[in-house]
Amino acid sequence: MSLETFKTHVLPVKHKLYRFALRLLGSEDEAKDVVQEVMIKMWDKRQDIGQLKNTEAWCMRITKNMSVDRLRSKRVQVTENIDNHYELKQAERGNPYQSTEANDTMKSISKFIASLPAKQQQVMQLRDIEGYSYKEIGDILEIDINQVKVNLFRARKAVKENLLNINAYGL
Amino acid sequence: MDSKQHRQEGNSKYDIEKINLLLDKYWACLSSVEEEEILRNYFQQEDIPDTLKDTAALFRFYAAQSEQALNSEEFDNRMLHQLGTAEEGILQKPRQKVLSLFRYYGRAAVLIVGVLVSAYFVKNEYERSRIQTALVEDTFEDPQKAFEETKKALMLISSKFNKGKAEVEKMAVFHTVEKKVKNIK
Repeated sequence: MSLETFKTHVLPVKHKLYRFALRLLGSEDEAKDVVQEVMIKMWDKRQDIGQLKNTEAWCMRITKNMSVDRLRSKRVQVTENIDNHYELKQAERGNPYQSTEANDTMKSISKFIASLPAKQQQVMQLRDIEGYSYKEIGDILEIDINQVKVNLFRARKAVKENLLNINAYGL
Repeated sequence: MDSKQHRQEGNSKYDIEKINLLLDKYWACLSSVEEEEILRNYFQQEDIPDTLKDTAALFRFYAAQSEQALNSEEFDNRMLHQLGTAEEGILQKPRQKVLSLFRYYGRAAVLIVGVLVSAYFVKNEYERSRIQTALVEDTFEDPQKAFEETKKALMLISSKFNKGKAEVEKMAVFHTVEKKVKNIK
């Protein structure tokens, strides 16, 4: 694989890898580092890439493993800085009052999701944000498809209850 | 203008019952990726019934998250630069090789120096003990001569000894005098 092919075929996956690493690590710098390491690993293994069934899922799996290793070795503090990124986008929509309200709801959703168990967060990230199939999620997280479904079901159930609470009490 | 029209047409094609059905499937985890995509697109529009406002916030949150990107030019440049040098294999690999060679020879050198230093000390110790044993070794070839020399040495010692003894015998006088003085008391 030439550098050019790498640039056009592998490098664009970086955003997904970054979002996933960010979900796992909670730190932008750490997430960037992990993506870089994954890319270097991909480059080193470029001879074998043709044999992989799903390069993207493979990259995601490596990202997960590297992030988990990092969490173990450095005990990275997972911070809740994920919810700052869509404020600008939301401000473009509707009148200021509406957008603030919508923004508040989204913030509280973001916080709530960040408080879910790690596995549920990961499954939700991969399904609802990245749109992977159950099988792909199972491959990435190295768990059984049933486990994927169970975790997703629990995550969505919890989120739904949280939405009802927001609705009822304006939390 | 065109896009607005298109969006409005798009809105009308969403049947709210269908959306509710899809949502039910979504919460039960029975929806497909495509159906979830339909939901996500639906909630991107502005004309959402109040009952679904919070659900809309959730799907907009998903959409916003999925647009979150790694900022990017600086990362790419750094990345490609790194991969470029790795591809040329000029910078990184030889340096690693030199380092590992250095490490290898360094260890060997330390080992050799260690052996030399210890050999030096062992040799010194050996020499010293040889000199000591040499002092104890025989100095005469002829036993008769050795016997004579030994005799002479012993005679010398005994003569000195006798001289000492004579002096000590004088001390006996003090002893007897002391006894007599005690008796007088």
